[in-house]
Amino acid sequence: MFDANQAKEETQTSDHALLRRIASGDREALAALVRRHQERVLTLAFRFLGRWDAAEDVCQDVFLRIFQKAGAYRPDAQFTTWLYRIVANRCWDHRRKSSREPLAQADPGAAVSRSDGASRVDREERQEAIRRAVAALPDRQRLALVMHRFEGLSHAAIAEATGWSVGAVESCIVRAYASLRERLAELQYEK
Amino acid sequence: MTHLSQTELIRLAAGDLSSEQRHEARSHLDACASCRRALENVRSVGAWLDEWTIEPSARDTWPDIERTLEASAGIRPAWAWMERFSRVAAVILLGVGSGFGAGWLAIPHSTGGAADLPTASAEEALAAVGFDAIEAPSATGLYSLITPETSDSNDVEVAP
Repeated sequence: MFDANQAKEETQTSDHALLRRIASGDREALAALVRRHQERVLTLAFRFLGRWDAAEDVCQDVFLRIFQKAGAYRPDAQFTTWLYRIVANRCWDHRRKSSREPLAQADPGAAVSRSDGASRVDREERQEAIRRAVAALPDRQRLALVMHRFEGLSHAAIAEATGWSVGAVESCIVRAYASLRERLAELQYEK
Repeated sequence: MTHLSQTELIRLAAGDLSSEQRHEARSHLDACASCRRALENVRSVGAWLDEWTIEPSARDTWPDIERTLEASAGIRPAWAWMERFSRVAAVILLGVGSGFGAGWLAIPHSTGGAADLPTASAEEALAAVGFDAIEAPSATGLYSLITPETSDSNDVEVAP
């Protein structure tokens, strides 16, 4: 029977092999790596930045960075840990550069109550309310939450990717949960 | 009784606890209604977040990445030349600077104080520079002092 761990290991080995080729300037290897991981990078960046165009910019930056730095990669760490670190850094840089731009309207309730007086919200509106509530979180809380909830990273893995302490990551996630609970409380009765 | 922390509840809901930690948490939850409610709150937030599904971007970013790489490769020779030139210039400047610095440090410098000057009598000083050989000041004597001795004195016109 084909073991999932074996598949993961083979993919991992393959990532390492691709990186060795990329380090020697092999663009075909880079193309393969991009096509293997771009969806993961794009969705993480989109959930953090809230815009597809910004997510695509970050995605390009991430893989260009990998192309430049592939020679410095040490295979003793998982490739995805390194990838998440680069994505986190690029997302962070992007937010720093555009810190004056509002990420989204920080009023999740508006999307919920606007629909009709009977407070009935359909699926899209609920999704929009959740998206706005997440977008309204402070950057650190949002990044930690997205990595934890949507990428399934452990607190230790998030700490490794962001360079924060595990305690700081946990604090961010706890605060994010508390904030979301407060903002989205009215959705609980709308299912 | 120690209640479960918010972090433990979040990690429990996310399946991020070890089996031992999970067992301890379950045991506590069986006996603690307050923590059960807190866990439900955490789970409700998780359930809301699960509703936020996004369609994966159908866009392939590779063509843009490839274009960027090609564009940077196009300007690379000029940059490479500039880079090499600036490195060589930096090494030369560093070498010259180090040599100058080392030479400056090797030469003894006076601090300007009288204590640093060698002490000698006026006679000793004159003897050191050969002035004691001059018997009496005269125009030719002075001339011989200021005229450098050369092996080929034919080039020098003697003043009348």
